[in-house]
Order: sequence, then structure tokens, then C-alpha cells
Amino acid sequence: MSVRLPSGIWVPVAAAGVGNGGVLGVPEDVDRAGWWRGGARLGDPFGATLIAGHVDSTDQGLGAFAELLGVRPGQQVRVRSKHLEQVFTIRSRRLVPGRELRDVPQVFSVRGERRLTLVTCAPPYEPSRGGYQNLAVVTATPVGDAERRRR
Amino acid sequence: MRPSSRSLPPGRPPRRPTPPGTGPPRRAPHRVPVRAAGPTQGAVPDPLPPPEPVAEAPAPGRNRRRLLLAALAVVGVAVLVVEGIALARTIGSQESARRDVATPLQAPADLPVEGSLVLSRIRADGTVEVTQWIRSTEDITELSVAAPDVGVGADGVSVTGARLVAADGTSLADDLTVTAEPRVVGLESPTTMVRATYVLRGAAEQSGTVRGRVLARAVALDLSFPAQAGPTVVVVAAAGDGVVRNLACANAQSSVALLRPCGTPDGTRWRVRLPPAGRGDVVAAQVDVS
Repeated sequence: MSVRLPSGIWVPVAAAGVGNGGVLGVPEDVDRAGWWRGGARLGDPFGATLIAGHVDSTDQGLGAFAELLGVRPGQQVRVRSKHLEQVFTIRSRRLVPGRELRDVPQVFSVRGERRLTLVTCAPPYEPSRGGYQNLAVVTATPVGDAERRRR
Repeated sequence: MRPSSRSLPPGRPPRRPTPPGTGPPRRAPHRVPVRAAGPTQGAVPDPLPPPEPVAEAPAPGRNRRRLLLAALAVVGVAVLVVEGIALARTIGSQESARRDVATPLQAPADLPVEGSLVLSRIRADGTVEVTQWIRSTEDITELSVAAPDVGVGADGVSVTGARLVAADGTSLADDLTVTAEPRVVGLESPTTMVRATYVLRGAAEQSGTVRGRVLARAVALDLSFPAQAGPTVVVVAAAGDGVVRNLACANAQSSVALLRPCGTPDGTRWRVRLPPAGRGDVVAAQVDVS
């Protein structure tokens, strides 16, 4: 799977699980993102497809998902799986306190309208308190149905 | 054209013809005296002792020719030596002339009419090779230069091979010492364009998380002059088959210095145009080296 952000950059996405404490196992490579296995998949009629990525790393610099901190409503995101592709339009970008996704169930629930949620860490960064104190949650809704990829 | 040795006169000057009646008196030929008979006139005189054998004296003409050849040889050698010295001097003066006649700088296309251009290349060993240009419509009489304060190690960022060249190609500074402490370099003659070339060490680190990834926390020196105006264009490339993944900018004056995404991809390079107000921003680059 891969996701194209509004800047046009394609970010590879790997399947990820949730570890102890509800922390999503995002790839260490800041230029890759993780898709939660328990969420909705491309082509599903309901629920959220959750994709998360690091905002940065001390020894790699900015991550691809740092772009999320500046996206605006109306910009488009494209998600591509092995066989399907779907376009989404960004509806909102908000800061959610805390660093654990279990605090925001609407981000990953398979219930409700079909949506894409992109998540990354957000400032402020406080080393004494474990790092970034907020989550940036970007919610996007589909422009149309998922379509078979053109080869 | 220098005359060849063959046309040089021999050692003896040529004899000039003398008009009749004006020459020196001719000498009487030397006559060998005949021994006169003595009192024993009529007696057979004692035979003269046989002459001692001596080396046959060369003919006068052959001797003169030998002298001429020897003289020519000496003169010929002297000429070769002189010509050699002259040739060496000529080569030396040409080289000196080449140094003295510097080649004017050719401004790159990306250099703003007024502003600066940074061309940085991240090497696999983490060093950063930089060519930095400054151009102004006003005279530049001094430059402020400092190493970026983003060193990843205890030693901070070091600068090697720093060289400054003026618009007319003359060298302003060679192997300039640059530290994190800003220094002012005064220019003997004002110029409207300066090119700086150098290598940064200690500005980039290898990632311990992703193999082959380098984070360059700075890609240029802080190089400026008092009346500097215009934008700064920064172009970052990776050496060899490497790829620049992204650029990030931070306000160097901010105590927080948060990195923000900046710039756009340009093939395997990335470039960012910093406005005049953001000229002092620090630009970091994430690079996957080959």
C-alpha cells in the first residue's frame, strides 16, 4: 500500500499492529508509514482506514508525515493498494492531546462513515515528558468509490 | 629571430684590403747567414750536429680552422645556455602572467541578480561540499563568515579548504579559518560578487536507524555582508547515486528552532528559496546515500 500526500510525494505504507499500551507499531524509517491492520480497508463501505507516520527522528530529520502539520481542507490524498486506488478530500486537521491512539477511538473505529485518518506527532516537544505532547489527526472523506488500479 | 651560431664571426676579425701605397713597409726577407771561412780557409769544416727530432708543426691554415671550431663550440654552448635561460624565463613569466591575469567569475543561472546561491553536495562520508555565491548591485567591502552551530559531535562543525574569490577572479582568501565565532573579512578592493568554496565536516550524521541515511543538519556557512538583500536559493544534491529525501528549515533566531518542511524536489536534488527575511534560516537535508 502507498499514500500520496498533497505535495505529491508517495509514501510507502506497511501493515502495522498495536503493541502493549496501544502504541501503533509505525516503521522506524521516517519516510515510511504504518497502516493499522484492524481498521477498514480500501473498498470497505464503512469505517476508518488509519495510517500513521513519524513526524521526525533525531538521526533522520523530518519524516514524510511532517507535511500533515500544514495541510488544509480541500486538498486531496490518494491511497493505493495492490489492486485498488481511492481519492480522498481532506476535511479537517486537529490537534489531539496525548500520544496514544486509544484516547481517540473515532480515529480508528470501523464504525461510522467511510473515512481516511492520517496521524502524526505534533508539537510541543518536551523531552522530559516523553517527547511530542500532541497528535495531529487529519480526516479525509472519499471523493468516489475505490477503483481498480489501471496497469 | 636569434642568429644561428653559424653566422657568428670567428675569433679573428676579417682582414680588410689596404689601398696601394698606404700599407706598412715591407720587411726584407730573413736571410740565413753563411758561415764564413776562417783561418783554416780551405779546410773541410766540421759537420753540423744532426737536428733533434721534433713534432711536425701543423700547417698554419689547419691550426686556424681548429681554433675556429673550438671557438664556435664554446660560443655554441654559451648560446644554448643563454637560450635555455631565456626560455625558462619566458615560461616563468607566462605562468606568472597566467596567475596575474585571473579568470572572471561566471555567475550560475540560479544566482539571483541580488541575493545568494548555495550549491551543496552531501557525500557518503557525511562531509558537505559547498559552493556559495553572493551577488549585489552595491559594492561588497567586507564579509561576515561563521560556521553553523549545529555540530553533531563534541567538536562542532569544522570548515576546510575555505576559499573566497572576487568577481574579477582574484583570490580574496585562501584556506580561510572559519569557526562558529563570526569573523569579518575585509576586502582590499570592493566587488559585486563573491564565490566561496569549502567543505563542512561534522554537520551531518549517519542514521543509526536506517542504513544509508544521512541527516545534514546544515548545508552552508553563515556568509553575509552588511547591505545584503535578495533571496537565498539553496540547492542540495547527494554525491554519486544518492538521493535527497527532503529539506527542512528552521529559524536560526528562534529558541525553539523547530524544523518545518520546506523546498521542492528537483529530480534527485531538492531546492528551497528563502525570502530575504528568512535568509538566516538553517536548512537541513535528509539524504539516502549510495
